[in-house]
Amino acid sequence: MLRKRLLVALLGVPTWLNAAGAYREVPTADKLNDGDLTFAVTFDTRGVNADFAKGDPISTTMKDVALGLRGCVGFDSQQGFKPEPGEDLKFGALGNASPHEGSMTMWVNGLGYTPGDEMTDGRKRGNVALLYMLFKDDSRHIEYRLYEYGDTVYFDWRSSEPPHGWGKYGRVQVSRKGIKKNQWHQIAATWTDRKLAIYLNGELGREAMLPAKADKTRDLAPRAQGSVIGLKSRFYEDKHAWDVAVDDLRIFSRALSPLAIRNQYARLLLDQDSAAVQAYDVKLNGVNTGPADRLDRLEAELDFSALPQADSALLSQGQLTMDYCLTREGATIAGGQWTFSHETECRIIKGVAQPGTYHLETSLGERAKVSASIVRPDLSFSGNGIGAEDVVPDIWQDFAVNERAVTLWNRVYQFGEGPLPTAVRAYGQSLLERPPQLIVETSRGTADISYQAGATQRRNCAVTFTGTGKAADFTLDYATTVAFDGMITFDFTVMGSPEIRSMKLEWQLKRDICQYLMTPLFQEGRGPEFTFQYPAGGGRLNATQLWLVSEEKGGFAYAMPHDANWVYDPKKPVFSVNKATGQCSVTMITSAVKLPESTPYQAFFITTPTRPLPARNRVIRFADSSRSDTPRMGMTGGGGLTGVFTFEPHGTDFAYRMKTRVPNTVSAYGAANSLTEASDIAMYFRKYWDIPGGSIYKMSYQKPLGDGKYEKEYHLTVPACNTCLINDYYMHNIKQLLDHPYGDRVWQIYYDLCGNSLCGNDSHGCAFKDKFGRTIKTFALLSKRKLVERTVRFCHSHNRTVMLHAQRSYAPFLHGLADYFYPGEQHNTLLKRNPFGYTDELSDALYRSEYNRDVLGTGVIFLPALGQASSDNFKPAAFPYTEAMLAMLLSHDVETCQSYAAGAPIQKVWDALEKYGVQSPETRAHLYHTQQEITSSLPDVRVTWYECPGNQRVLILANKDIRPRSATIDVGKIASGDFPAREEYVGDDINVVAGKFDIRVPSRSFRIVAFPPKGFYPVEDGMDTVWGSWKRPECKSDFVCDQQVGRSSPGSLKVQAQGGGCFLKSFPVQPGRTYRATVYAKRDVGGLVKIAFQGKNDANKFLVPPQTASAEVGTQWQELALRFTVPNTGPWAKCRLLLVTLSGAEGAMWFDDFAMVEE
Amino acid sequence: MRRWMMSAIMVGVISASVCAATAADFADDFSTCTWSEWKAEKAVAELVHNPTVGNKAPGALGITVGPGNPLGAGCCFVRHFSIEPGRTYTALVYVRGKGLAPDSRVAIGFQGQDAKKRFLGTGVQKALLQGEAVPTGGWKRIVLSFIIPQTGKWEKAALLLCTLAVSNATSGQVFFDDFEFFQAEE
Repeated sequence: MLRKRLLVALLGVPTWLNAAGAYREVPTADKLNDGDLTFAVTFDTRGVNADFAKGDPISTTMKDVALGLRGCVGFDSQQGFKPEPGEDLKFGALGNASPHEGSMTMWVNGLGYTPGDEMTDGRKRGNVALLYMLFKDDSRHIEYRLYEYGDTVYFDWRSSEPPHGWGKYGRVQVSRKGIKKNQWHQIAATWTDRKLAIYLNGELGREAMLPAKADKTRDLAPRAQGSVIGLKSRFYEDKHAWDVAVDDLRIFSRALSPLAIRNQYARLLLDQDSAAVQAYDVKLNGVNTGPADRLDRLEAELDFSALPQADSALLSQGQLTMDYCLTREGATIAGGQWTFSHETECRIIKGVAQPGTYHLETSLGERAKVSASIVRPDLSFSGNGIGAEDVVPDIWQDFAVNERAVTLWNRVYQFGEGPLPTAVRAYGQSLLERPPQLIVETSRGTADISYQAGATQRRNCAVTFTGTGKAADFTLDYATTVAFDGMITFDFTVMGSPEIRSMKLEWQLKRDICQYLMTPLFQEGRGPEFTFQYPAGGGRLNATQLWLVSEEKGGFAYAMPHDANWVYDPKKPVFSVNKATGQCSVTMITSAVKLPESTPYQAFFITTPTRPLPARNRVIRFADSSRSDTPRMGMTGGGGLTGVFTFEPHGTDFAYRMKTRVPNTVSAYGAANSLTEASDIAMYFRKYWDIPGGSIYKMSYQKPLGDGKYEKEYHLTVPACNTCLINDYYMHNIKQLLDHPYGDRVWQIYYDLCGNSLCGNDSHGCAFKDKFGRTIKTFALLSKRKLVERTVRFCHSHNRTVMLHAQRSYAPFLHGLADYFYPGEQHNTLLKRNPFGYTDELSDALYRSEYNRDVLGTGVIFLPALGQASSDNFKPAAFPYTEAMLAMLLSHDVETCQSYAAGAPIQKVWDALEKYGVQSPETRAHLYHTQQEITSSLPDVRVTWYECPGNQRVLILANKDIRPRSATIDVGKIASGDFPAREEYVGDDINVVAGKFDIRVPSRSFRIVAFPPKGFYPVEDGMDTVWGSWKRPECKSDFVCDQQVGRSSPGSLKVQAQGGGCFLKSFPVQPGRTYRATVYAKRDVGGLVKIAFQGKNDANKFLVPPQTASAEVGTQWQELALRFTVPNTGPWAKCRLLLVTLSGAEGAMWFDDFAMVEE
Repeated sequence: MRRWMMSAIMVGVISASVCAATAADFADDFSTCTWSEWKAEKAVAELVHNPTVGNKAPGALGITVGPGNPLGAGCCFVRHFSIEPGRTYTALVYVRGKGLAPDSRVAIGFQGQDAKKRFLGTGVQKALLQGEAVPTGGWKRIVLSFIIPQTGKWEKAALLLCTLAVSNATSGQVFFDDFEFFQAEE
């Protein structure tokens, strides 16, 4: 024994690991002295079996392995463990750890590499496995993986339950920046069925909620077989190529508090001064419980889980007293004494009305003192009422009430004595076969409810009908509110404590509007009968609404705010729809129950479409990289703002970024329910604004340093429920944005994260107890609708638009208020595995429903996802993928944006359509599935055509098949005889003979045939709108539209040149053709001006050399001309665009009356 | 952070059992079986040629999964085709099924290999049908086309490993018939 120890000591010297010595040596017995401990492997006895285990302590893979000769010294100078190649240290998990709650601490040491570095010797280390826990029952499992990648340690939660993929797993991570080679450090992690957290050396790195699907495995009871704890057992591609030593894995039965984690680490430090052990913890939170709060309260959140024994005894007796004093800048705000009886408690302190830093001192007599500080930001934005005025936005001005009839844009609701409409008409036609009814079953059978209308309350934006209902066993009071967009909010309260066997809402729609069922996902491939469970966990895949809708005849939808006072089996359906008959029902009470007195319920209905379409629907050219005068997303990454998602213009950077942008082109990027950790307001209200389980993202922010320089920062998002004051904050800042001198650049307010999410935060009331004592969570429908309504009202009054993004989850109650919806992003997973997915795997019905503006009722700008799937998809070789997407979108008259797709094909399509006026509001679309005027000899070649102003006709010929098709197109019914036409996508002249022409359409592609043919040129530009501009970052030149100066009329482009730069604009060209551009120029004093052509090919690469013409001009307008024949040989044969640039020598110059012709 | 790649799992198993077809245009009505097969280590599945079942004529490849097949254990028929980066290749096959769970998957897949049949880490391109969309009374076509990239991991691809696969299924039966592989007309 002695010899062995000596040997170990000698061998241990060379591998004595850094930081051993920083931590004190703890007797093994002490390491196991914790009531919540379920499993511990310390290696202190130089074996790998567990020193303590509630389950089996013996390793299933290495039970006989001795570590004595391995020379690995642990963090506390005792034995550690480093696996040899091929070793996987595994244990049974049953009893040793729980899948539903727990904590783990373990020590880790990177040997031969620096964990705090991203790479070692210039190469990535890949995934390095640390800990694996798998809990299995028969068919389901939950797994936890702790591993390092780069400088970061990740702790992931996954389960067997669908849905899988991005966003469907839980993850927390902590950076190890600063951790050195051979340095022991402690990783801790905690988990519950809702939440994960990870710590480094006692400090919290990150917390995150699990996805809603965690509910599905909450009842998982692991079996011994297949349930595993793996310590340094390999997963992912780890092969132990990187030496990692581990030590003292301890697993606990509960999720330890941050204080407990911090304290257990601090107790191990040799230098106790460097991290004092705290007896308790205090955290301060700003209080905001709703939209109309005074905001003068601060919450002290106390954690007593680590109290010394004597104080712990006082706590359990309810006699733990604490002195406290809250100060701001030295002045006392509040003070006194609190008494506590629970391990975690909160206390509210009033009087926190002024901005500033608040400091709370607390003490348990002389035994312990803990303080905390928080910055209370300026909250003067609260209660601003911006956009909340009782004013009906212009597009809904038809809203009118006549007795119990409500007239809306394109719809009429007729109410009788009862709470729900007796008739609904849209487009002049009745939608309802049977109107919605509340059906209550009691022991007497179906209750005969006799309604009597009461008072009507009218506001400009809504009307509320009240009344009562009487039945044999109960009465009810109702209040039904119809808003200006047609949303019906049906509130009713059942009185008399009746015993009810079932209660449901039933309605039946006319069959011709039952074309699509959207819940909100389009339901395809099944039916005609559909049933759905209540969406208890929220989620994008669950049914949160019932919406039967048609392409041109309207639709009717139901949704609910929550399931308060519903009585149902969560595993059984409560929603039912029969698409064949139009019958729908929502059963709120499915089994007999005696209702408590005055039990309230709420339901929503709406008829669609909810609004007229916006003026611009086609050839919007959103994100067109060849033009500066078309809309595009701006302020992503918080560019020009004070932070990501704030909408608040930065003091200098907003002007810097917006100055050269064309007015009415910027879609201001923000989120509907998030800020970031960089926001002091978000941090102040973090607890009260939180949406438990809400998505959290790592966002980059370009922090302005001045002079066009930036520093990139990363911040995690902080969810902010719309029930709170976040709506006021956004509106306050949006007003600032539009009021800014450069606010005219903003075309649109855009909200990301604008889905109908579920919130279970009881701090602000989204979670509450219903009459049966159940905890209820609330959907964001009403609170987020309020934000959208305010934004639309404000933006429309300022001639701006609003666009929303919620993946596939279009809810007419919420998104039907906005001008545009932005769907399509979710296809990135599909396109990653099959880039022809748009043609090969997505159904026509999907394009005709989820992407159809005539179904949704709002404008649609489709968001491609090819570039998200792979950046290779931007390259010319991959253009067929973008063409496949265009074939589907064009044939379904769906407008796309250019983001995340190849630019050249989309720009060519836009150029063609724009030339013929497809974007005109007067243009009529005739889609392939309804039009009969133009026929194709092959059904695979679909014909969708546009009837444009000026008797122009544009045909989209789309072939979604896998082989090219040659078809004869017969246009004789709309244009007979012989005449010329033009194929505009590849550029071919077509002769139409006797109303027919032949054309070959490549597989999964399209052709655009238009007649009479029209040229792009001549172009004339009066230059009263600013062109795009380019300059190097260090250049101080200014590029503006000068409305005071002009040659033929006011308006010209002015350059104040200081260091170079130019105005620029692109024009489509064809190799072999000659182009001549002219422009007039003058200067404040005589000097040089220049016009140049630069060629660009499909890959957006410049072709050399540029062609230039320059002249000395004076203070009078002088013509400058440049003529160039685009070569049709060499690289220029691929030229697609000519970029015209205008520039000159230092000083002020003006350009006006630009013209360009094709000779 | 990186995902398991099917290639990583398959590399050791099928390299010894492939039959290398090299035609650019290829059709197989499965009147006989010239394809190899691959199963995950713990897969409970039988891959056979069925001479009586067929789309246009008798003869199809069949995979019977389970009962009790682990969800993560897939299996497939495999065949190699010669390819050139920069070209577009299409494979299609008709499928029918029986007893498949709605979220099980039937897929046609491509992976890139070099001339020595070494995997290049290209990942798997695939077109798939969810179990609920696989017909039981008829046949449905699955198509996969892919433009072989000339750069990146596909740059050195000389062979395309085509797979006809079933995954995420504990039980059920799938038939494949009337396979075609061709290069797109330029």
